Amino acid sequence: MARNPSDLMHGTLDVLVLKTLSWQPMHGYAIMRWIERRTGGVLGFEDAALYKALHRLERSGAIEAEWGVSENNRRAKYYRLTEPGRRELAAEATSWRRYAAAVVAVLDGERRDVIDALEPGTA
Amino acid sequence: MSWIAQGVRGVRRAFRLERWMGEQVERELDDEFRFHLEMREGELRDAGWSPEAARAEARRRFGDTDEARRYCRALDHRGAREGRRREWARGWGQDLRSAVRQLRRAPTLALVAVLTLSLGIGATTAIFSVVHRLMLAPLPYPDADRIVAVSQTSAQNDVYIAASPELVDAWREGSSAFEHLGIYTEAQVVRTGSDDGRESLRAARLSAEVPAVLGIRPQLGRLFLAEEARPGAAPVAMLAYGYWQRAFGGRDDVIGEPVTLDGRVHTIVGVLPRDFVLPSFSPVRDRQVVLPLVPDSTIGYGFAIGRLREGVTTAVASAQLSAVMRSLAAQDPQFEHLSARVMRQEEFLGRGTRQMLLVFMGAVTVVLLIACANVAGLLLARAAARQRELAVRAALGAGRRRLVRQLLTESALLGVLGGVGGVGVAWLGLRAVMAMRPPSLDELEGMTLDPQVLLGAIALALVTSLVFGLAPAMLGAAEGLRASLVVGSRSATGHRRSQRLRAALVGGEVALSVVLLVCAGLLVRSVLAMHAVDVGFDPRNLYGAGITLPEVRYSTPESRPAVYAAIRERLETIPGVVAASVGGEVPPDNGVTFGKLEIDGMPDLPADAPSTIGYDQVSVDYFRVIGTPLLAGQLPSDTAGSPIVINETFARRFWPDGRAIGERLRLSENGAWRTVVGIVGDVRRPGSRSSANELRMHVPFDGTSPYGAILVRTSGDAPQLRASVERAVAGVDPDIELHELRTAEGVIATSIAGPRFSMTLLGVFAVVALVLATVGLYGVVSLAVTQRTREIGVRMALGASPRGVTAMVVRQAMLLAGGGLVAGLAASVGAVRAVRGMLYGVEPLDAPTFVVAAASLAVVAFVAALVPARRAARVDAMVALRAE
Repeated sequence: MARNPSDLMHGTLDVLVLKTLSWQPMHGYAIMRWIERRTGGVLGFEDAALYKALHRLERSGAIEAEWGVSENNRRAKYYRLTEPGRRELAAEATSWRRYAAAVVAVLDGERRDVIDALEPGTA
Repeated sequence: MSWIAQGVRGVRRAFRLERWMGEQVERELDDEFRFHLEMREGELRDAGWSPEAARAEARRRFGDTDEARRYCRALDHRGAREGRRREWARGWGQDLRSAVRQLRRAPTLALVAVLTLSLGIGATTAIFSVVHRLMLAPLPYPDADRIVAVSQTSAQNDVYIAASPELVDAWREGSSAFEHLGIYTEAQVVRTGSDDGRESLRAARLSAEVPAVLGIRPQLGRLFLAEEARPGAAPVAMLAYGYWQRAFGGRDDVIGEPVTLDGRVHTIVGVLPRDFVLPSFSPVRDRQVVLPLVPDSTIGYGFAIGRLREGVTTAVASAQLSAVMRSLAAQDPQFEHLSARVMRQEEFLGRGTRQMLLVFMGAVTVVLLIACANVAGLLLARAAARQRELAVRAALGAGRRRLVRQLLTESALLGVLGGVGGVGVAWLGLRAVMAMRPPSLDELEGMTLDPQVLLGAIALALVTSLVFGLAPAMLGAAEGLRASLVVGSRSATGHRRSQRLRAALVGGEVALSVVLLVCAGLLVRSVLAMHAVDVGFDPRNLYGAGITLPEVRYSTPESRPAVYAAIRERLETIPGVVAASVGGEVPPDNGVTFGKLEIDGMPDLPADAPSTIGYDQVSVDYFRVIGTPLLAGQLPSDTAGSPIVINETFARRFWPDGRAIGERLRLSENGAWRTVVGIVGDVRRPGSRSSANELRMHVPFDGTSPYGAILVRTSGDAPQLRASVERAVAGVDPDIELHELRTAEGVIATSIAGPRFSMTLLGVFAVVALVLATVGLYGVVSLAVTQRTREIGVRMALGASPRGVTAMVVRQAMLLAGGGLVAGLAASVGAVRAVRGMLYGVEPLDAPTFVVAAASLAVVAFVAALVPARRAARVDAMVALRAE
């Protein structure tokens, strides 16, 4: 089932985690499963990287943690999005979408569009 | 558990906290990772993997566990620490805000507490800064503890005599204890030829070794060379830092410039460092220019200082120098009965002054303790009233430590405010001390509050707030915690406990103030005794001054008596002068001589016969002028037959049957026998216990010495006397030096000045202590009455009369005060030993003083108890019974 994950840019994981937590508080394992399912398995990542991101985000104040009881009655560390985290999520999402759109535009663009862009006004 | 044990446990817990917190971070990380791995394992097992394979795969998918763990751990630790710090700061911020609020809610308590603390902290700061300046401030030189002063002394070491350069040379050659040994004198020189015109400068003359003794390096240029301190060398000078800045603009090129001092051109060779000070009984800080000491006949005596070799003690050095003195005495009789002593800087202060300062330190500490006790009592009372608020805090989750911390913050706030007020009190106190200071504290000239003192005051404030705040804080927290558990109760035990503590504090205050009262009372009696001393002469309108005849004009002894006679004639012509004499010091001062007393016909004198005896050269009419009676024999007018006149105490000591006239005595084995020809009344210096004061001998002044003295009595106030005397003396010869004109009353006042100062200061402390203790007593009694209103109502309803109630309150209050009084009297018995050396004419265990002190305290306590007692009597039984 495991496929080689695409390389992710630094920070991509952060914004994905923030978005995931914007739905509801979760523990680390649940976050990982959620992202795997949402991306249809296209994006997978090393668990260690996830936890590093989680702790990093906690330190910067975007998320906060609390120990609770999981669905199978085990002690687990739940993370929750904070208000500053929500704001950061909005900002990151916007800039990510712009970045993605730009990449797509280049990949999908017609040759004509490009020439137009380089030399405006030529026929 | 005792408070001390609790405190220790808290401190230990604080230190373990760090490590425990760290362990917690580790544990949480482990738990988190383990959870994840177990979930993954479970998922894989559900999908059909075997348990071992599932575990291995889960681990593989996780990635580098160790690296992740390290990364996260570092992050978490830092975050945890920051969080704790923020929490801690927020806690303190809350406590501070809460403390301010509490103070605003109880403004009278805050005001009283701050005033009390200001008084205590301010007085303590002032006294300790004086002591620091006088006793503790070290010399600013390398290895300054090896710098010592060396002095000739009488054999009994009770009189210090200045040394001469030749004597210092003998000491240096005859002993091995010193690395360097030198001598210096203070001097005045006149600078001419500068833009500032004619300037009189404060100078010092240093022998060549003095810079090495001190270990100074010049700020600029160089120090003197040994050759420059010899007769005939080209004159050189060094400038002091301050004078260099002021008069020479701090220029680097002053080296080599000429400066004209006392008419001779000196070359400036160097500038002294900024903190240059010459060690002395009263350190010399203010010199402007420094010259080499050239031994010649005009420089007779100076102050000898030395640097001991590493490891040599003053005792060893003193012994070596005493041996030198003994060998000198074998060749030169003037050194018989003289010894030498080496003293460290701490010993420079006279023993009397040191003791006085110690007594002041003790007294002001007592005052501070009483002030703390008062404020502690106030806080205890207030904590009882705040029980509900503390209970709420406890119920909201504040642990004991938090409550204590909060209460301590309130104490600290009071303490700091008290410290700020204390700085003002200290400043005022210092001004007062400086204004009243006796000559022994002259060195305090120009002293102000320096930053060190302010820092000390703040530190003192914080420490005292701990002292007075700890008990109320711990009690208050305990009460708050207990009350939070028991709903709606007003804990009677808590009140009782704090009331008992308050009563104990007040009892202690009373005891301490009794001690101060007794000591102050003893000093008052001493000063009164000094005032009551029969000085033995008439001190009114009596003036005297030393005179020196210029050597060049009167170089032979025969030329001098006529001059003195002429001076005396002129003095008698001054309007207002009723009598004048030449020769003899202003009484009750006198000169001193040393020797081993031998009396013809009394071979076995007691071993403790004094070797220091008062000595003076007086003219034949001296005793008439000063008003001392001749009791037997006659007054000699010339020196034929070596006649002496002794005072009554001297005569009675050795010839109790009164047959002193015609007896002979001498002061050394080789000295001349002197014959007693007259006995005069005693002249006494109040406050002095020296044998030089009690036993006096007088020889005739024959006018052959270039050093003499004049004595003048006027009929009334004579404001122009100084000018008239100057004119009279100048009329005989304008080059005759007339020294400072002093009055007999002035000399007497000076000798009492020190004890008067001590008495005043200790008296002030005693009164302040009494007032504070009374205020404390009033507070306790007043609160007790308020708390027992219901009980009083019951008593009155059962038939007690108002007077009976008053009596009951007063009786209980006096019992408390009485307990403190007894304890204080008992403590005083021991405490008076501290002031024993300062007493005069009164025994340490002087019954009247103790009685008066006890009585005054009892009266004051009675009045303080009466006010609330009267209030108790006015309680309306019905109102009281309904009130709860």
